[in-house]
Amino acid sequence: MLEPQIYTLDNGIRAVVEPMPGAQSLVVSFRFTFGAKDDPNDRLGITRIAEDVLFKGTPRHDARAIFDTFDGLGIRRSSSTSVEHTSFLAQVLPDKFKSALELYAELFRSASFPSDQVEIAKTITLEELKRMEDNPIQQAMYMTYKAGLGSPMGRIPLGEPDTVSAITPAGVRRHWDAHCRPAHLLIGVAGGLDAERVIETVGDVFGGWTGESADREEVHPISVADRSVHREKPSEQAHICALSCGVPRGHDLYYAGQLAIAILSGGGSSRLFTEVREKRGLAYSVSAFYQAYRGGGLMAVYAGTTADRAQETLDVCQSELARLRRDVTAEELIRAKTVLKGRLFTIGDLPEGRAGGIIEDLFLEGRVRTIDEIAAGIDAVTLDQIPQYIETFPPRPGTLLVLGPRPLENKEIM
Amino acid sequence: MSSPFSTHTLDNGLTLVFETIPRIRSAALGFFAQTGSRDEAPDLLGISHFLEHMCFKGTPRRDWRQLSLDVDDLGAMWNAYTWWEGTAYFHWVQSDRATDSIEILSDMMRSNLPSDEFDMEKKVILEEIAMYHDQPDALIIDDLIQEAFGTHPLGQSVLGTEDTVKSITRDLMAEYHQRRYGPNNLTFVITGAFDRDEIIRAVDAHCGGWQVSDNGREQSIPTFHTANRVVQRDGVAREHIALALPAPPSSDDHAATADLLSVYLGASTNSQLYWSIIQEGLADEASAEYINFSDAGLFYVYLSVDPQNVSQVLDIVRREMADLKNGIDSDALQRAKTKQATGIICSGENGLSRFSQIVGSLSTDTPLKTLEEEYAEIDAVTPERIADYLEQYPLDADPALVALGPMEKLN
Repeated sequence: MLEPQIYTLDNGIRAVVEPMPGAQSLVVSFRFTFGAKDDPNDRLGITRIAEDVLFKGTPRHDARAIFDTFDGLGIRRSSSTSVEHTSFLAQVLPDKFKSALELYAELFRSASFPSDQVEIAKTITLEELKRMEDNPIQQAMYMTYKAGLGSPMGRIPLGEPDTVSAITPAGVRRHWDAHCRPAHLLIGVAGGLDAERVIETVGDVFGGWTGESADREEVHPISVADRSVHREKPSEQAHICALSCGVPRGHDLYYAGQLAIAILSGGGSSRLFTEVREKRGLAYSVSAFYQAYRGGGLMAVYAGTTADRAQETLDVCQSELARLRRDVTAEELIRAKTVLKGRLFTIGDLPEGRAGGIIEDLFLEGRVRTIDEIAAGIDAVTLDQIPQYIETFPPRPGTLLVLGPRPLENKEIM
Repeated sequence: MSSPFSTHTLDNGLTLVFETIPRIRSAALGFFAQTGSRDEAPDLLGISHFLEHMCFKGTPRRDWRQLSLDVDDLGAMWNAYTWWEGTAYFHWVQSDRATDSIEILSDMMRSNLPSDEFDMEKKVILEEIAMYHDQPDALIIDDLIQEAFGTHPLGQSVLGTEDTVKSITRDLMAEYHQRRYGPNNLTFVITGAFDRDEIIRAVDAHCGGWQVSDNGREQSIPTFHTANRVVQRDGVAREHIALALPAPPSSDDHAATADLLSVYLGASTNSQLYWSIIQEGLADEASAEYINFSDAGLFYVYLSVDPQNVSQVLDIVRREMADLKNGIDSDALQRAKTKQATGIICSGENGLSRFSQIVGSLSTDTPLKTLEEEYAEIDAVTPERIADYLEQYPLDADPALVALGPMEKLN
C-alpha cells in the first residue's frame, strides 16, 4: 500500500493524497478548521448559511452558472457545517480533477454572498429547523448535545430561529472573510490519480492564494454536564440519549475505547443489541457510538422504544454500561477486533471511505494513518485496557435526555 | 472487454449470479428471495418482513446467539431488507471469508423459526412500526403506493399494520416460508473479488439439497388509480405530500427516460423544482424519483412544506410537470447525463451497491447491465424521446396524492 503523504503549501494549506491504483473515481474533501463554534452568540447558524450561499455567486458567475458548471463537470458534491469544521466533498472523475479544484478555489476566494441569496438561505434554514421536529431521532440527538456540551461545542449548526433571523448579508460576508484563509484549509484526495500529479495541481490552483492567517485556531475541550433532562413530545416512541466523555484521538487508550464501544454496539452479537433487542424485544433501534473532536471525544448511546417500555430499556442500557468494566472476555475482544477490521477492509477501502479517513486524521491529529496502521492499533489492544478505558472515561457522570411523552428515572445502576 | 457477469444454475433450480469488480479485495454476497409484500395474504401483511427478521433468530444448526457470534467472527458488514417485490440478505466480507459467509447465509435461509423467539421478535417489529410512525417522511411512500395501486396486491404495505402483524402466527409463517423460499425462488448473488469455482462448490454443498417450492407470482398487471387522501395528524410540523403518476415498468425501453426525466425535474440541486421551489424558499424539500417494479412504475414527487405555502407549491409542481411537454433544455439534459455518469462509475467500485443493483434487476425482471450499458441507455435519451415518453405517460394528468401533516384539507 502506498503511504499517504502530507504536503504543506507556502500559504499554509495542508494537503494529503492517498493514491488507489486502479480506482476509476476520485474523492476530494476540503475541510476548513472553523465551524458553528465560531458563530457569534447572537448569529448562531451563520457559518452554515455561508457554507450554503458560497455556491450562489461570485463576481464572475451567478448561482445558475455555478451549478451548471458543477453538473457539466459531473461533480457529485455535498457540503456540511459541524461544530468544529466546515466541509465540502466532491466525487469526480480524474480527468476533471483540475477543473473541479479551480471551481472550488473560485468559490472559496471570491464568493460574493448575494443579499437575495442570503435571505433565501435564511428562509430555508428556518424551514429545516421546523422539519427537524418531524425527525425525533435527530431532534433528540441535537437536544442532547445542546444540553450536555453547552455552548459552543453543543451548538446545532443550523442555529436557532431568532439568531438565524438576525443574520444579515453583510454579516455573512464579514464572517466568511474573517475565517476563510488558506492556513485554515485542509484538502484530502483519494482515488485513481498519482500523488505527484495531485500535489502539483493543488499547488497550481491554490498556491497563489494569499491571506493573513486569522486568529489562532482555538480548541474547546469537550466536557459533558452531569444532568438528566426530559423534553415532552406526544410521540409514540420515547427517544433516549445518553452522552459521556470519550477518549480523544491519539490517546493511549484510543483503540481500547473503539473496541469497548464495539463490544457494546459493534455487531449483531454486541451487548446492547443482544440485551435490549434480541433478549427482550424492547427496541428496534439501539446503539452506542463514538464521536471525535479536536477538543476530545464523546460516547453516545441511543435507544428508541414505545413509552411504556422506556424505563426498562433505559435500565438495561445503564446496567450494560456498568457491566462493561467488569466482565469483558478475551473472546469478545477478539470478536470486536474482527468487526472493526471488517469495516476497514470493505467500506473503508473505497475512495470515499479513504478520503473521509485521511481528512479526519489530518484534522484531528495533523498526521494520517494507513489502513494497516489502524488495523495494527486495533490488534495491539489488550484485555486489561478495556476496564482501564472505562475507569478513565466512565459513562457517568454524563447527560441523559429523554424526548417523549413521559420522564424516566435515571437510576444509578452498578 | 469481456462481460463482468456470469451465471450458473444448480440442479434444483438455484441460480447464482456473479459480477467481478476489479481492484477491490472484498466481496458482497447474499440471497435474493422473490417474495415481498405483494405476495402476502391481505390479513397477514408484514409477513415477508417479519420472516426476514426471523431468519436471524435461529436455524437447524444455530440458535440466534450462535448465528450472531458467527457472523461477527467473519468481520462482515451485514443487513437484510424487504420491499414490495422481494427480500434480500447480504454480507460484505474480505474475499477470503466468502465461503464461510455462504455457509451461514444458506443456514439462515433455512431458519427453523424458533417459536420461543417468535413473540419476542414480534415486539421488535411493533417497535419498528412505532418508530416509522414518528417519522412521517419515511412511510408516506408506502401510503402512496397503497393508493396508487388500489386493491391490487402491489399496493400492500411492506411493514404491515399493528393488527396484521399481531395476527401472524408461527405456523402461518412456516407455511409461507416453505412456499416462497425454495431454490427456484431464490437467487444467490456475489460481487467483487472471488474464486468462481470455489463459490459454486460452496453454494452447491450448502444449498444443493433444497427442495423446490412455488416460484414467481401470478397476478394481473396493476392499474393506476388517482387519489387524494389527506390525513391530519397532530404534532407533525410540516405538511408531507407524496404524489405519483403512472410510469413504465423497469424492463420497458422508456425506463431510462423516466429516470433521467426525474433527475431533470427533481434532483436535489439544479433541477426545475430546485429553482422554482427550494430556491424560492417555499419548501425544505421538493424531489422527484422514478420508482420501478416488474410490471408497473411510478413517477414520484415528494414535498415537505410549511402549511401556509402548500397551495402555492402544489401549483408550481403542476405547472413544472405540465411544462415539460413544451420542450426540454438540451444543455440541462446533457448536464443531468454527465452527473449520472459519475454516479454510475462510483457505484461500480462499490461491491454493496453493485449487489443492490443486481438484486434490483432480478426483482424487476430486467437484464443485468454493465456500467457501460447503463450509461449508454441514459446517453440515448434525447429531447425527442422525452416528448415521446410524455405522450405515453403524461405528467399533467391527475395524480395519486397522499398528504400527512397538520392540514385538514389541502385547498
